[in-house]
Amino acid sequence: MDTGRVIKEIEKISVKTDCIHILPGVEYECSVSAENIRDFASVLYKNNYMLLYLTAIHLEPYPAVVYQFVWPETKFRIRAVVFCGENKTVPTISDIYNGANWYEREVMEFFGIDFDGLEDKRTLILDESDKGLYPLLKKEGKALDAEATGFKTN
Amino acid sequence: MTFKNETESENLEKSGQHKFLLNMGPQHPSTHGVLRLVLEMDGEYVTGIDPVIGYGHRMHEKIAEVRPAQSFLPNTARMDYVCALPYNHGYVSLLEQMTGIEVPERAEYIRVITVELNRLASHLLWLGTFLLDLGAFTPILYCFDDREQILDILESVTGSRLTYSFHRVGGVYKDIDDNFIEKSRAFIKRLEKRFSVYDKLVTGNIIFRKRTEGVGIVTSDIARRYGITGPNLRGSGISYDVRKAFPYSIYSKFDFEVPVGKNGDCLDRYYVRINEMKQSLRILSQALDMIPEGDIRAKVPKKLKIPKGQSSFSVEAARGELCYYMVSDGTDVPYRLKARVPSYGNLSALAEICEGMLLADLVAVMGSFDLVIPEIDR
Repeated sequence: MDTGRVIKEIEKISVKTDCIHILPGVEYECSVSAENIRDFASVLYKNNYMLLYLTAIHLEPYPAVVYQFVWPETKFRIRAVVFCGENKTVPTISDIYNGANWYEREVMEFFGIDFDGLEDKRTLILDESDKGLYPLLKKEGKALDAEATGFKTN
Repeated sequence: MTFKNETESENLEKSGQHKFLLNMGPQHPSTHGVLRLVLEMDGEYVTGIDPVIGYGHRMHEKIAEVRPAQSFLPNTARMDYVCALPYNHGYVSLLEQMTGIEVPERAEYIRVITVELNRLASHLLWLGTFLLDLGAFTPILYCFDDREQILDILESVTGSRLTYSFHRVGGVYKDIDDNFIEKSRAFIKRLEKRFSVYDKLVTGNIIFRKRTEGVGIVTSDIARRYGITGPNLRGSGISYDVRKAFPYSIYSKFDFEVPVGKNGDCLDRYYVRINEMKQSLRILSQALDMIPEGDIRAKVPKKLKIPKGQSSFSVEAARGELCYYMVSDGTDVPYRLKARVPSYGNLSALAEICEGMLLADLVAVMGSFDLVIPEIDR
């Protein structure tokens, strides 16, 4: 399969922010809006990509969710960044990539980001009584904005 | 034998009482750590699995945010205590990639040698415990005998036996001497001979075949949906090894193959790991032959400022792809560090793979998955 075709498909629903050549592969970075992340994941799933992980970063004013995809048979990695809106909600991709379920639950309990459409919303790593603790959020006033951490917002 | 039992079981089925919940763990020998599985049972068959994790949670990712990046190094080894050196390697490589520090070639060779030795130790431990889970008591004694040799070799240079903190930003902590090389060469010879012992002891064993053949099949689609990596993925026929796909460090210099399976069952995962051990030996003997003289550590400032930005680095740990992802705000303390650990994705697929199988087969599948729970909990 051709990586160029995949890039053409995802360029319609995402904005390319960076493209780093790592030896001997390529790491392609793009920014996706929350509405498009489900379509984005579907395109990559159809093209045999694998979800490596997803995680979040506490940024001001709203946190960002980072998705890392890799296509096992090529040297191509895609990192997608979704900046959450005011309601701190991102649509789930756990029905496309089932493995995302655990990662989303982890992000939910560590960062307080809600995943719209996620069926299983129990805590995964923390105890049920620690709900609302959000340990990976920065202390008040310590969180930086996207520019200060090197993210390109457009 | 009377038919009393049969009618009783029929009665149970009619009243719906043949279904029950079974608690496996957190203290159970075949979960290899503090993992709890809540199993929905239908007689002897498992109809639903709900893994409960987090018993060994230490919040390494938060610890990384409150101290200088170099001070986090000992923590990386404590995620996966069975195969700690790839965790060292990935972390220092990430910092080197972000700060642009060049590593002396000899140091990279030492890193690869120690990492491959550690991978062998991890696979040997897996082989013993996997077979122990299946009820074979003998092989673990042989495996631990071999593994002990590696631990001794590694102890002589790293100073510890399990939670190594040996790699440093810009190089390694200590140089290896002729004694180390000699002992490693002797070990390679020894282990090469041992494979035939394992082969005679295990591979042809009828009980072993019956317990593993066609059990716990991981299709490539399941692997992709759950992010299964490492030997578990390669058992399904997908040849994805970070050492080959994204040759980091000096892996491109070595001649080695990536063993793959065909059916993705427990037996294929067994074959893949055994063949991987042989490939590790190949890498080891090449590295020991090719190792150049020179420095083992580049000059690195004590206060290591990481340039603003984000970066990720992947290495092949014994269980699959280990990926560190760091966001930095320009100071020496990372803003965010994410460790993507291989067992996490592997375990999350267990529920789908094992649905509808016998309880005993579940133990076989978990053994073949080579889970290390502290790595999942982090």
